[in-house]
Amino acid sequence: MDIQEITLEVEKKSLVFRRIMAEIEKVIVGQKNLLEKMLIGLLCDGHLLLEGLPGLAKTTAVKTLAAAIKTSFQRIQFTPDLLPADILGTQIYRPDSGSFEIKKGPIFHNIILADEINRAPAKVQSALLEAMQERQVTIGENTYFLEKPFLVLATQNPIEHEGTYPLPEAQIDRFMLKIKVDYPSAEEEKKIIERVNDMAAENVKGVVEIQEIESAANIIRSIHMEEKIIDYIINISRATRKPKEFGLEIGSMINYGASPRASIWLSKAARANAFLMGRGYVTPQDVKSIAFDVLRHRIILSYEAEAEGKSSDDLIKILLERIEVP
Amino acid sequence: MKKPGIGICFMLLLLLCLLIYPAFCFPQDNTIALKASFDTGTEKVGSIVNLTLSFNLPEGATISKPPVIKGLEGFTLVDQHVYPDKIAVRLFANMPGIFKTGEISLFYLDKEGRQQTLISAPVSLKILSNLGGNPDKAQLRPLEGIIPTRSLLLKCWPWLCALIVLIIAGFIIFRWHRIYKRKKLFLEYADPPHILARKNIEKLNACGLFEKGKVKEFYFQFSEIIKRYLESIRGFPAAEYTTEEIASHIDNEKDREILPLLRHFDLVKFADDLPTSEEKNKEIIAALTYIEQTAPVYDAKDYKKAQEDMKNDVQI
Repeated sequence: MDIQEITLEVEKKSLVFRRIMAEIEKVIVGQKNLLEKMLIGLLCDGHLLLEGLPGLAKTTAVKTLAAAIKTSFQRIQFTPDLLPADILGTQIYRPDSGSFEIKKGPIFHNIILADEINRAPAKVQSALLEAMQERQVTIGENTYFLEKPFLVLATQNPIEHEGTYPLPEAQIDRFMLKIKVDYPSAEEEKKIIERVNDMAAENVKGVVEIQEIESAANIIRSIHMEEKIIDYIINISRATRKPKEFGLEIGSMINYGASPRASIWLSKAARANAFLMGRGYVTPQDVKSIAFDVLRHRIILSYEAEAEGKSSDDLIKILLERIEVP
Repeated sequence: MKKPGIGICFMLLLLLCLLIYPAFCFPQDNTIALKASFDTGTEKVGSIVNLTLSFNLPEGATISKPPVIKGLEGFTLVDQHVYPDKIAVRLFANMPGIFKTGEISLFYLDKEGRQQTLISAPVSLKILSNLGGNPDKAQLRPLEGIIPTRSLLLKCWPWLCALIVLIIAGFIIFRWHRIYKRKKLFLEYADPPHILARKNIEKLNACGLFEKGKVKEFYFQFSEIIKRYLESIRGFPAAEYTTEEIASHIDNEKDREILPLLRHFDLVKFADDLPTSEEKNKEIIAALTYIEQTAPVYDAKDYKKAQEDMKNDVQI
């Protein structure tokens, strides 16, 4: 398939996602970035970590996405007393038959909302993250594969630290994107109030079948990525590890840079972004648009950076402004 | 046989006289005696004083080993050396005043092996104070003035010299590097941006990359020239910006005319679009026209002066 054919196919298939967007936008006002990134996660089969203050429609957005796709959805509220079996499932003894019966947990759904993931202890987080990585769950002696699509959207609140269990860096790396959810603009907030009054949330209906999403996900692999764009992606990842090689004086602010997994996700996400834009090829803008979300949780900052009040977003901004675009 | 002449007889007589003369002039003193004498009449406290004991012994007599000398008690003996006719004694002058010995006696053994004594008269020496003639009124100097010591500066002079050489070398390298950098900058930016961009486009077109089928390579370079030009005339880092970012930074109508060109460059670079030769030529003309229209205006005099200044700077 040449690029023109791919572009035609992409245009056709991306209509499905426009339908999803249109349906979600019935409920969610603004938050375009969040919605687009959720669709990218869906297309790339990657899990998402949403970080934002309470009341920014994180949970509503996920719920609405699940409602717009004809698929199963489950919300798990993470609490300190949650157990791994509460997520994965367990064996229940049936006295009448004298045997054990498998009771599958909420993870056996297509879209999972792990609300306030940092409120549960490490063993529960590990159980979820392992299932996210392996895409299978073992209960007793039986192993069960999780159905596709399997998308975990975890939320966490950045302001509360008491009674929370921060996710370890190695486990955070399993999330494809970490999306920061911002406040809506004044105009958007006005619309939100009007929409809540109209009870528009009830109008969301499933408009897309799972097969359509799978078919769209398949076309993403054939989206053309020029070699120089791959080099650009690698340069960005390498610059987080060895900034000096790229003439950047931010080495003292980074303890650990992004792993090769970041490069993989960056290329996949750039392709998905091109798909959503209706293009059959990737441009440097696709890489730049997604770089913050792919890299922000993979750059481990030093104490120096924290002391200077620099966030990983600040450093990524410097990287993107200094690395030459092909 | 011829008899010896008068001259020869006279010569032989003269030689004989010369041979026997010392025996008459310097008669050997064979008196059995001991004579003591100091090398000098005065000496300073703390110095070593040489006392010579000259002696004549009877025939067959010998000095005992070590020699037994009496009369020097109360003096600090440093060492003594025995010679056939004298003994050299070194004494330490440890206090000011008159340094006077008693009668000095030296024991020896005659040829029958009996102990005999030679006696000399007492000798004296004046020992002066180091503090001058009137030591009570002397002003003492600090020790470092008396005992010569090397100053810190003298001790470290090789290191100091090395440091100075290093500083000079560093300064020379720094100056050379600055001049070299300026020269490089001057060579790079000798031309104003519009002339540099135009030259680069013409050079790119002349090297025939497009004609050789390296279309993408041609467009990557073409795009970079335009981005660098934009960067130099508008002040934002266009080379590190995507076309979309450049579009958001452009705020005048003229610059907007370049956007379709950049978008088409993206299509060639990333979407394998293959423009024809005519399209390429049109784009070169469009780029040159844009450069011409947006070229920064320089006053010819100012420009020439700036170039001269730069040249002078480089020479400095």
